[in-house]
Amino acid sequence: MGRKPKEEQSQLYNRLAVLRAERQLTRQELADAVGVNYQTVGYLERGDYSPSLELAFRLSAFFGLPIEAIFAREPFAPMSDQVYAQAE
Amino acid sequence: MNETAVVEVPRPEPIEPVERVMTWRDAVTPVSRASRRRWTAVYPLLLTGAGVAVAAPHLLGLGENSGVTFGLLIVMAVVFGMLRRGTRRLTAVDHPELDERDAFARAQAFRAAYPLLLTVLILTFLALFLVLLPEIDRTTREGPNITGSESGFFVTSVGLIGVLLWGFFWAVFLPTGVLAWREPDALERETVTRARGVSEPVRDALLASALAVGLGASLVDDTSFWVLALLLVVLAALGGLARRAAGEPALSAATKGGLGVALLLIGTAFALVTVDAGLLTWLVVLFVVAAGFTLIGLALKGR
Repeated sequence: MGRKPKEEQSQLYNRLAVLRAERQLTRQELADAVGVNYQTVGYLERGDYSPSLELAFRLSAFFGLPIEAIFAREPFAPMSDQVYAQAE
Repeated sequence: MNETAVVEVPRPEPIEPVERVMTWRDAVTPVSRASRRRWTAVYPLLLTGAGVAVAAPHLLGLGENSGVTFGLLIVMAVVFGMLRRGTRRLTAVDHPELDERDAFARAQAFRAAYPLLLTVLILTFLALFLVLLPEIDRTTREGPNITGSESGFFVTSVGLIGVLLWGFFWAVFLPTGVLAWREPDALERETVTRARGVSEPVRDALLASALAVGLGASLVDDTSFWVLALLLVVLAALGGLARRAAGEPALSAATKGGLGVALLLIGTAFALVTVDAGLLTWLVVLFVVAAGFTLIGLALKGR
């Protein structure tokens, strides 16, 4: 079961909004694919909710990415920075 | 240059936009957390006011069985209904769309509500024993020709039911109140345009004004009629504005028909009861009956 992040706890950051936008998915489509309500997708993207391990794995499987590519304890650098840094 | 792998992402079936008729209930459902918090803060005040109006009306300068008490109960029902609708997916038992976050949020709300309820009950019993209940001495019979006396607090059976109802109202409200207070702003549906007529702060201000003026009028007139009348007018206006904003007629055919029949019945009943009424009264009755026929005609035409 997931937990709501508290201020004293370290927040979990994620790239869900970027990944969803890249694949041109609506929140409803992503929600249906991983079996949650579309509101929950929005709360995840906004950082209002940290997912359970099971939901994190479902998201990971859906996007075909390792969990650490989607969730992190530190804020993600912009994806464009990472892509161009790798290219150089 | 690194090679980039192209991952095929499964695309779910596109979702059809949900077409549904806007109702007055949609127009008064709080969506934002700010609105939910406003109404959550109002409910305990109303419940406390109703409790004081019943248990100690003299504290509010009210008489016994004041119409304000019933008016407060009407307002409480409206506010609680709004909060329930604002959190309805989470408060509905076994809702098909409940997921792990919803279940967690609901469990957390109940967890927070228990200590709050305990606090309310402790304060209630303190108020009962320290302020409200009279302490009496009574004579007891301890044997043949032997009497004694004991002192204690006196509570009637009606008073006991009142205390139980008070606890029940708090127990029902607190989990919903905590949920309404804590839940983040809801997201608008991406596939459905929601038009609400007026903004939430305006809607809240209108409703609150109607309820406050209705309660104020009830204080003067000692009846709950004004609360109900103003409430119905504002709810109908908000519903009509929301329907117009959503591109629907302000009144549905069914509502027009129902309203028309109701007006006909009211006009007929009034005419039968007040046979020797004056000209002005008969004009009003005629107007009500004509309005009833007009609405029924519009309803039939709109089908």
